[in-house]
Amino acid sequence: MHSFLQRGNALLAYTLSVLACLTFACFISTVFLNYRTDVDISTVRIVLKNIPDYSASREENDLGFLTFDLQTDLKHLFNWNVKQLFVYLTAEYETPNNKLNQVVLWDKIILREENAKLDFKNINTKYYFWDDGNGLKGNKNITLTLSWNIIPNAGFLPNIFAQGSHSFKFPAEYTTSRI
Amino acid sequence: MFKFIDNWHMDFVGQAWAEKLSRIIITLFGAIGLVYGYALQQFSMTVYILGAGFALASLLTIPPWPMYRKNPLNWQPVKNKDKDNSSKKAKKISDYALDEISFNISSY
Repeated sequence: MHSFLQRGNALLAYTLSVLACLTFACFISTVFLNYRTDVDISTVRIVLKNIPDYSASREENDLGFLTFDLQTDLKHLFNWNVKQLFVYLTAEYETPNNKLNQVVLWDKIILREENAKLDFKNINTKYYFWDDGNGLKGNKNITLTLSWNIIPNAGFLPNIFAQGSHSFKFPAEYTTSRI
Repeated sequence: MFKFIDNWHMDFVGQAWAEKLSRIIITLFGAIGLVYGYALQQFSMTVYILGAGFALASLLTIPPWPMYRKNPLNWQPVKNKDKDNSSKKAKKISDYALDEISFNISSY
């Protein structure tokens, strides 16, 4: 605390130390919270096509189209250490080639000030449901699950799986008409 | 008007006070910010309140206000040691150096 600049430096350094402690307190106050909650998912329309995937190998692969309903309330997940949620819908299924396939079909960023009570009816997927072969045709167990990343001010970036999922099956025949 | 700024230094007692006061202010504002931010569930409030504490502490403890200059050191007057003119320059310098550090520290 000898000169003008040294006093300013000491003050700034101490303030930043206190800020680090406060941030840690914010992290500790939320690290043990349970961020899981219930979700209702259901499929409305399921269409299966077999068309060339020009973005990859030009081979004809299975492409699923589906519309779905989604209801959940994520309002209570927000607190002073949650800036936003990254919500995404994943399809999981098994094929002869792969024990586990996971395809992200839809996602949404929910900021804290936005409406977190989701109620979607008959919405399209955001991303293509491509299989890397013919694994979707007649597949009897495709499971849709909703998950979310919590983007915090400080601390971990947890990946939470919602309670509740929806299973459906693809038809055994390809749709040839335009959709 | 700002005559006390002609020298930006505090005395030693003033320095100790300034440091203690700045620590108290920033810690207090940090604690208030933590409670208020938790109550509002808004961490930005915590950061803003800590920032206000920083501004207040900067204003109160960085400039050498008169309250930090009440205990100046009592320096001994410079003694004139020009009796021995034949002595070498190096000797003279060391004598002056000795004089400089022999201030009366017990006076504060």
